[in-house]
Parts: sequence; structure tokens; C-alpha cells
Amino acid sequence: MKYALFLGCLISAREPSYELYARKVLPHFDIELVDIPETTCCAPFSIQSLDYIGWLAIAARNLAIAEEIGLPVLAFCNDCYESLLMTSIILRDDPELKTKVNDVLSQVGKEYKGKTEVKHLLEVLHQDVGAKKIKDTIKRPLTELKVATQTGCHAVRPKMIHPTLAVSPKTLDELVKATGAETVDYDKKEVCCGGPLRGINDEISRNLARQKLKGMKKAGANCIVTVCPFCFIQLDLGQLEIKRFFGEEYNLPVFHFVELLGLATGLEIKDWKMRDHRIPLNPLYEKLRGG
Amino acid sequence: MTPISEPNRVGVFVCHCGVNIGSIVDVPSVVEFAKTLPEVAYVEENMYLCSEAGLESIKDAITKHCLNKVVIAACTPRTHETLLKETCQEAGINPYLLEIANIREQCSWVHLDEPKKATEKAKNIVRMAVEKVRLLEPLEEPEIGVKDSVLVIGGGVSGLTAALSLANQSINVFLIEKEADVGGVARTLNEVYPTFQKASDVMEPLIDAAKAHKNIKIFASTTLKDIKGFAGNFHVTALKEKTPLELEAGAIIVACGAWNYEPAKGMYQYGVHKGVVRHLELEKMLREGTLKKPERVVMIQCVGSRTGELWGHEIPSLVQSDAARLLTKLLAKKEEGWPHCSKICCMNSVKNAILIKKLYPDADVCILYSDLRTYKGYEDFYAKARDLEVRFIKYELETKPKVTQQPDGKLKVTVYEPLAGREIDFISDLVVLATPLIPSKEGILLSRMLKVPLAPDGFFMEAHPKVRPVGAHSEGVFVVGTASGPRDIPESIASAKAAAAKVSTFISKGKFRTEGIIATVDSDLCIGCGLCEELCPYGAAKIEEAKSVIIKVLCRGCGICAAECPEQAITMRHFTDKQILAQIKAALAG
Amino acid sequence: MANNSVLVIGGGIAGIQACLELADKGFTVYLIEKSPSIGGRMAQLEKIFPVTDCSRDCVGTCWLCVLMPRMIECYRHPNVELLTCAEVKEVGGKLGDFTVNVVKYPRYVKEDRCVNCGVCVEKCPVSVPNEFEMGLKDRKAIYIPFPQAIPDIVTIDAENCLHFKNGGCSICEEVCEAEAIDYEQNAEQLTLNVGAIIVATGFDLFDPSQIPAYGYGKFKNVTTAMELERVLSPFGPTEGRLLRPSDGKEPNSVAFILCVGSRDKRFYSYCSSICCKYSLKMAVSVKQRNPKTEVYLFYTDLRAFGKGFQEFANQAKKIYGVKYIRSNPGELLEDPVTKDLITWYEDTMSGSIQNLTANLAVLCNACIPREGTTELAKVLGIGLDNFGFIKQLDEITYPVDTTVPGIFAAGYALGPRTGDIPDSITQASAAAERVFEVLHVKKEA
Repeated sequence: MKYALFLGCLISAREPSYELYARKVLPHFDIELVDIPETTCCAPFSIQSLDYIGWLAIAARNLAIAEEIGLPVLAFCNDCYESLLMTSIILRDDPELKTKVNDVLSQVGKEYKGKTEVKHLLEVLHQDVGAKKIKDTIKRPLTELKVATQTGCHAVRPKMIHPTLAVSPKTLDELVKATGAETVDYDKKEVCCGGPLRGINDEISRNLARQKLKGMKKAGANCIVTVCPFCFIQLDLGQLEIKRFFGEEYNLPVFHFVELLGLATGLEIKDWKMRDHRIPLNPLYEKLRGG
Repeated sequence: MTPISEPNRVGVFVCHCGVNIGSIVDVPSVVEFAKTLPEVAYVEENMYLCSEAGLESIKDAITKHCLNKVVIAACTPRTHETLLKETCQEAGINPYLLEIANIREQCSWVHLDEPKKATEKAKNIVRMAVEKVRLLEPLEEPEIGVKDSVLVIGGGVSGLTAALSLANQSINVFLIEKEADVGGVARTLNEVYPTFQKASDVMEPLIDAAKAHKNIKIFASTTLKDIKGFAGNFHVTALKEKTPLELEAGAIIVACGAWNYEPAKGMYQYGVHKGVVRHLELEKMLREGTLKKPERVVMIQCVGSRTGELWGHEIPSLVQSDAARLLTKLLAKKEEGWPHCSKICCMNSVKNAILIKKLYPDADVCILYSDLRTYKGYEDFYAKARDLEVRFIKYELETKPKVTQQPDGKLKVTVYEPLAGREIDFISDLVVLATPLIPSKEGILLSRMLKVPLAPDGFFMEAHPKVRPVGAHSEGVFVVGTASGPRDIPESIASAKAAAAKVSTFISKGKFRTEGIIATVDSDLCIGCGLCEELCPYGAAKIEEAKSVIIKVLCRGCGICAAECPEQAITMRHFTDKQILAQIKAALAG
Repeated sequence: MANNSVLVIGGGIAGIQACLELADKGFTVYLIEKSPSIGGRMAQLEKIFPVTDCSRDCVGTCWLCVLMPRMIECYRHPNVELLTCAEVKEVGGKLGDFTVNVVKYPRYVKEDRCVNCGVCVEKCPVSVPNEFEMGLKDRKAIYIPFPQAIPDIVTIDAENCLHFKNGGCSICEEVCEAEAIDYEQNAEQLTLNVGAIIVATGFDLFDPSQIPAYGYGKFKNVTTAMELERVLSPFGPTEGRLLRPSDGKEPNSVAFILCVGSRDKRFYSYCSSICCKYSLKMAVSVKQRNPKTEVYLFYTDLRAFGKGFQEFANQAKKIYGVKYIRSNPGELLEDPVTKDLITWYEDTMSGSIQNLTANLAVLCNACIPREGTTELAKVLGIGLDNFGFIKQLDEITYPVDTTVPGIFAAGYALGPRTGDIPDSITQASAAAERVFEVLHVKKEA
């Protein structure tokens, strides 16, 4: 399957590991990533409260570019995913709004026709590839891992698209188990990581992360797996901030799911120092690579 | 960084700056307002804080009221920051615990018609400064050693003079010259004004002395490849013919000279008729004795100067250009010309006119001029030329003379003479064009290598146009001779000596204080993405073992790395997020 | 024996620059200034060109921002000894070992006591014209020449002081709380031993009353450039308002006349080098105050050379509307009622005879050797050129050396070779460098 890849800002600037592994691993599962030129920030979902038309226009412009290539959009970041997905739904259901947005887009020579599909990496891996296929492909089961998964909120919303997952996200656990790792259930698993509040109310943001980390530790996890780069920051950099603020250490390394896939399929990138992960990955990582 | 353990006692000093602030901003009310701000222990107003009395008053107040932080509400830091920092230091306060609130350039001067609003704004600015100063931490300026050698770039009269001056003070000098031998343009001249000394009499002793001096090492046929480092510790790579060369120097003197404008082909028949030359070519003819007796010589002043547009807006893109594009742009200016006056051409023409008259008294020598700038008291020189019957004909820049070829091979110069009120023709066999000195391609590329700016006229920019004429905008780098603009030989010599004075003081101190306001990296946050290393214009940010490291002595505190770091792992000392946010909060509170 | 001390004669910008250059290097510098304060000509100016650092609405703090920090640095520098109200009387010896006899004239004020409170000045009953203000404003017999003088202490002008004339007044002594007044103070003789000397005595201005045709001294509204500088300066006689002498009104038209005394075979045949430039600067300054004012510049050759000046000359014409007239008017006439100046001149560009009426005429008078230069030259044994300025050892290769080894010169003391302030500063640093060189060589030898 070919997808127009929408990387978004965070991964490009701050989490190169995600991109590196995605590009290495996904073709192995027949997911071809085509780069689309001149995309901008998706316009995070929360922008709509500041400027509704503006948000729609920015998102629609990105969709319009993918339309020009004629491929469905694959987003890695939860926020990008929801923003683009919601835009496609809203404009599909409201032709007047769509005209207004296209008026704006015409000023930059673009038009959103409304034919683009938007998918998240999670659903693509779950539906197009499937946990079974993954299990069959892996070479090195990651049995050492006891994973606390963090699906994140926006990968499994809106409810109209993901009716059950919205309240009970299970997909990521299934995929993680397929790699041979164990998953744990922990307190506040479905609760938001606190990411969107970074910079707005750091206190609440920190506390949300802290609660989750406490729960993960209590449940016996030895690492965390995310699909959303925002969750990643909140739980990886967040552990550092919590250490500085509360003096508490959790020592839970955070992996992107594609990294696990890479390690499990023997496709890990040997020279990559994983320096964009702040919580030390070793000794787990060394074990996984060596074995 | 350890926070200061004692509570803040901030002193606020509000300056009237005579009428510049005081007549628009209600200073007494700003004073009263400042007293209400948190942690402010003392407030004072003064007519001129920068005066001797003002500075003493600041020191007295610091001592008397046990102040440990200072806010000075006055003019821009660009004028007196150094002096005020020194004053604080003399009173025992770390100079980085001073914050200057600009209520002149950024307040009174731009709101001349709205005194009430200006006063409110001044209060806001003071509040912002106080909030920032409360969070400021003392900073040190690391002292580094200064290498005891000097690099002189260019072996013309300026470069050689500077090199000798320094060598005579037992300082080691490396002189790099791109041609096969030193001497530059001055060596190619015939006789110099106003004394008519032979250029060779001026230059040969200079060249011999430089070559013979044990403290000077000359590298001819050498081009610069790169200059890294900072004041006191420059690391230079060059190429001598095919051999690479590496040198260390404590200071750099730029003496790379200037180009002589070459008119576009066909302009005044230049490049088309061999009887049309520039003074450079005339000097050669006079020196070699190949000038045949002309019946009439017409010299045209201001060819390619006092015309065209300034380069100011093009400079940034020029400095980014590669050498080939730069050359193209420079050559494109042939048609347009340069707006500056090259200063020396009038004297040069008069000199050559006198020389031709002396050689061939019967020749008719005419100088077509716009303003005759026989400057600097050389009036007698001008009189001498008139006594020898050199004819001076004024023309207006708007109606430039025209030169055409006659069927008999001679040249016809047509000029509108305002006093006669009509056009006059001169049939001549030799037309000499007075062309300006213009910025050289080497100079522009060098400015990029050294990271020093160019002035809007395309030459090197002085550190301060009035009072620092030989400094460049970078510590440890000096510009002499025609590299910073048209100059004659005595002026070039004086500038070379002036720079040598400063360099020798700099080198002899052996130590140098570098910037206190530098970037620092929180390595826990750093992901080693390398953006800072890529962007740092001074090579101060390096990735070592997957983390960014700031080389303190290279950092100039520009802030680019801190602004760009995607992990916000880099902080600028003295401009931390916390400090800036405190200022923003204070601004919005008003 | 090589010496670590240097004498700098003259406390203008060139002297100050040389002094700082030497002091930073580690030399002990004696800076001698004849008048009570350092600062020289630059302190008298309203603005200096180019005014790129400043707001065009700035009211004359050029020297505050540029000159003052240097003046203060000189005063505070541990290696500098400032001797004001002092003159060099005798010089003996040679390079490396000069013996200099200096006389320090009495100010009748104890320098370490005076705090410049200003009370004595307020109470003094005698007023005389202030030389610093070009006579346009008065000062008292006990005075400080300008508010930011360095050193910032008062001086008594004994020639005009009543106490010294007839013993009749002691008001300043009575009111001085610091007990700084000392009528018994004597001149001090000091002997200095220095390795080198730098002369930076600057220039005086040609007295235009020597050209009666211009009416200077007769017609009230004929003024000189330096007088205009004082008028435009905010500390000057009119606090910066441009008002003409006869009626105190703002002039609607100002005419600058260049080459008054310069390029003139009757007086000084050389070109003074700085007048075209400063007249452009002042013309623009006048226009900035009131764009409606008509400003005319009568020139022969517009010598706007040097960095940025040609562009400035173009700007002055195009943007500010200064009118250039290529002519050297022969005379100025005065309208008996309006006191305006009328001039008939030949416009050399059109060849026609024109006349112009201006409310104010500004004569750009020649810069001439400082009074006392001949005597000083004798004392030092240095040569003067045929205009009376200090002669350079070699015009081309030794531009800041005098004819005596170990004695150097900088600034307008060298005459119109100095084209502007940056030139003075460059020469001053170059002279300092020459001192480094010659004393270093002596040390090594």
C-alpha cells in the first residue's frame, strides 16, 4: 500500500528516531511511504478554538497537496491525524464551509476537493498488516519487555470513526504482543498523557504524566511504548522534568512502536545512537540488540 | 548556576539626558513609580548620568544604600554600557547585574508628540528592567591567552607599514600576499603627490626593510582559505601555490586594498581606442618613459564615481554569494558606477597633468572636473598646475562629457561648459579617465570569512565611523588602507600605524577577556540533533558524543542556537526564558 | 635611557586619543592643556557627522555620547596625569630623555577640594564673555567653561576678578563650603622627564573682520560657523534655538559662505579641508529644525570627500533641499531696516549675476595655526611649514613625525592635512604607535 506520508513537526525536528525506524521498517510490511512536498504544520486540533476557518484552511491545504498526488494520507502523530481527519469529515459534511475554505485556499493556488482519506499508523498496522502477520514476520521476540502502552487520545478518536477504541484502546497492546513482548495493565491507562497542556498549564500537565508513570511502575512495566510523538515527549522528557521537580525517578525508557518492530524484525539501525531518547534505553536496548 | 543568596536591593537611576528625555518624559513621576516596584531599595534622578558627576553619584548610592543590582533608565546601551558596567564594577557590583532601560531611543525620541504616553511607556520599560534585573545572575568573562603573533593580510603600503611597526616592537608578523611579490598598487605608481617623490623611493625601502626584518615572515603567492577562532586565537589556513599553510595569530590586520574601477568597454571609448586610458595605465607609461608627446591630453574626472546607487541593500546577499556570483555583481556595476567620491583622483590628475607639462611643455593639458577636490590644503598644488597652464574646465555631472573617434584616429571630447553656455570640443590624442577605488572581490569575500560587516558603500565598515576608524566590528580584527575606503599614501600609512598601536597593546597584554553572555546547554534535554552546530556563525557549538557542547571562548552570545534548539536545551545567559518571560509579564501588567 | 613616560600637549580629541592609546599600553602620560578643561574644539560642536547612531531629533549630545566617555576615561585612567591650566615652557634633552619644564598657572582653587557645587559661580558679581561660547554668552570671573568640563572644578580668571583687581571682593571664598578658594595660590613649576612628546594643539579660527566686505563685526546677522555651532548647541547661548542676533527671531533663510580666508592669496592660500563638510552638516541641521528654512551654500569646489560625505552631499540637496550655489560672493550688504544680508554674486554655472537676501549669513572661516604655535615650536625645536602648522618629517612616509626625533604630532596641529575627526584620531593613534616604536627600539638597544 502506498501512502502519502504526513510526518508533522515534532518527529521531523525532535524525534528523528521515529522517522528513521518508520522508513526502515514499514516497507518491510509493504507500506510504501511517499513524501509529499511543501506540507506545513497540520494545524493542531486545538487551534480551532482560536480561528476555526484558519485551522480548517491550513489542514485542508495539506490534504489538498496529498490529493494532487492522489494518495491517502498516513499520519504518525496523533494530533496531526485527528486534525486532518476531522477536517476531512467536517468539510465533507458542510459544503458551505468547504466553499469558504476553498476561497482561502484559492489565494495560494490550491483546492481541496474532499477525496482524501486519512489514516493513523496504528490503524494501518492493525488493519492493513495485522497482528498475526507481524507475529509471523518477527525474528527476535522481545520477551524481555514488559510494556506499558500509551496509545494516546487522538489516535482513537473521533468516536464516529473509532466507536469502541475511543473508550478502550486495545490495538497497540495487540501489536506489541505480536512482537513477543508482554503488556501490562496499569492505573489511568486510558487517561490523557497531559501533552496538550504543555506550556499552558505545566503543573497539570506534569501531574497527569506523573500519575501515569506511577501507575506504570506499580504495574511492573520496564518500558513504555507510544505511537504519538507528543505522548513520547510527555513521558520521556516528562520523566526528566518530574525528576527535577519532584525528585522521583521512574527509569522507564520510552520506545516508538516502530522501533520495537525494527528490533523484533532484525531491522534495527546499527549506528543510530538513539540520542533523542532521554531516559537511558540500556541495559534493555543492548539486550534486545544483542540477542 | 548558584542563585544569589542575599535578597535583591535594586537601585534605579533615571536620567534626564538634558532635554532629550527630560523634556518629554516626566522623569520625577517615573522616579516615584520606580519606588513602588518590588525589591527596589533606592531611586534617583540625574541630569546626565554619563557625566563624571553622574557616575560618581551612582557609585555613592551603591555604597551608601548597599545596592546589589542596578537599573539605569537612560539612553541606548550602545553609548555608555561599557562605562556604566565599569562604574558598577568599581562600586563592587558584578557588571552583569546591571540592566539598562532605554527610555530615550525607544521612548522619548520616538514619541516626541505624546509626552503623557511616553511617560507611561517609560514607566513600563523601567518595570520590565526591574523584573529582569531581579532575576539576573553574576557572570564572569573568561580570560584567555592571546597569541603573540599578528597576521597581516595584504602586502601593499598599508600592510607593509603595519607589519614593520609591529616587527619593530618585537612582535612576530605573518604577512600574506596573493601576488608573487609585495608592494601592491603603490609600487606600480610613478611619482606621488604632493612631493613628486618617486613611488619606488617610498616603496623600495619599505619592501626591503620588511623582507629583511627577522620578525616578519612574508608568504607571497598565497591565498587565504579559512579563518577560524576568535580574538587572541585566530587559526588561519592558506594555500601557498599548491602547499597548504597553517598559521596562528592573536590579531588580524586587513590590508587587502581596493580595486580600481574599470569602465565598461566603449565607455568614453575605453577598451576601443588605445588612446583612452586610466591613470593606472598612465602611471605605467610615465614610469617606463613610453608616453609619446601628445598634442593634447584631456583628463576626465569622476568616471564611474559620484553616480549609481549605494550597495547597502545588496550587501547581505553579496556576503552570502559564492565568489563567481559576487564577481558578476561587481562587474555589473561597471555600467552603473559607484556613488562615493574616491577622494584621491583630483590630486592624482593634477599631479599627472603637472608631470606631463614638465615633460612636454607644449602639450595642452585639460582637466574636465566636476568639483576639484585638491583637498587637505593642497591648494598650492592646484595653483602650480594653473601656473603651468593646465586648463581646468568645469562640467556638470548631469551632462557628462562624450568621447568619440575621429576619422583621422584622434579622439574628440565634447563637453558642455556652463560658463560659456555651450558645448566645446577638444580634439585630443590622449584621454585619461580618473576612476575611483572600489571595493574588491577579495575584500568582500574576506569580510565573509572574518564575519565582519561591510559598510553601505561596499568597503569594510569601521567599528565606529567617527571614533574607531581602524577597528572592524570584531575584536582583534583591524582594517587599514584602502580596504575601508579611498585613501592616499600618507593616510594609509597613518591608518596602518594606528592599527599597529592598537594591536601592539592588545598583544602585549597577553590576555583577553571574552564574552560573559554566552549560551549554555542542558545536556539532559539535548538530543544531539546538530542544528546548533549547523547554525552557529562562530563555530562555537559542536556535537561531541551525541550532545551539544558550547566552546565558551568562541561564543559571542548571538542567541541563534538558543532560538533554534527544538528541545529548548540551550539557554542564553543573561537572557534566560525566565528573565524574558518576566519582562513580558511586566510589560503586559502596565 | 628609555623612559616610560610620555607628554601629550593639547587636550582636544587628538590629544585625548593619543593619551588613551599610550595609557592603555602602560605608559605614564602627562596630558597638558592650556585651558581649564580638556575637550577642545569637539566639545564646542553641536553635532558631528555622520549622525547615523542618533536620532535626527537628538538635541546636540554628540559629544556627550562620543567625546565625553573618552574625556572621563582620561580623567580616571590610573596612568594619566591631567594638568590643566598648564603650559610647556622649556624642553631639553632628546628622544628617550626629554626634560620638560611645565608651568601650572594658578586657578586659585584647590583642585582636591572643589566639588563643583556651583554656588560661587552664582554669587560672583563679574560677568565677562565666555571664550568657549565664542563670546555669545557670558561667564563669571569664577567659572567652569562648560557644564561637563573635565576636570569638573572651577577656575578664577584673575584678570577680571575683582579680588585681584582691587582686593574688593571675596564672595566666592565666603560662600565656598568646601573651603576650596585659595587666593594665595601660586603658579607651580613642574619638571617632567619623558621619553617622547606628542603635540596636539589644534587650531584657531581666522578673524573674518579682516575681510571688511563681509561685514563681520559690523552687521549683526553675519556670524561664523563656530558661533553657529554654539547657537545650535543646547548648552549654548540660546539653548539650541536657532535665533538670529539682531532681533532674536528664527531666520527664514540662512546663507553659508565657504572659503572665508581660505584659498585666498591675501590670507591663507590653503584649503582648510573641513569647512565644506561641516557646512553641509550644519545646513542639514538647520533644515532638520525647520524644513521651511531656505538654506544656501556658496561654494567654489564642494569638497565633500571622505567616507560617506559625497552621499551626504547628495542627500542634503535631494532630501533636505539645501541649495548649492557655485559662487564666492564678493561682499555682503545689510538692509538697514530688516538687518537682512544682501549679496550680489556671479553664479558661475549660469554665468549670470544674481542677488540673494538672507536673514542670517554664516561665514566658514579658515582654520589657522593656534596662537602660540610659533613659540611652542621654538621651545620644542620643531619645524613649522610655511603656513605655520607643524611640519611633518616627511609628508608621505612619516606623516606624524615632526622634525625632531621623539616629538610627534597629530590632529589639526598638523594643519589641513587632517581632513576630519577620524583623521585626527587615526593620526593620534599613529603618533602613539611611533612612540611605542621609538621607545621600544631604545629599550632594546
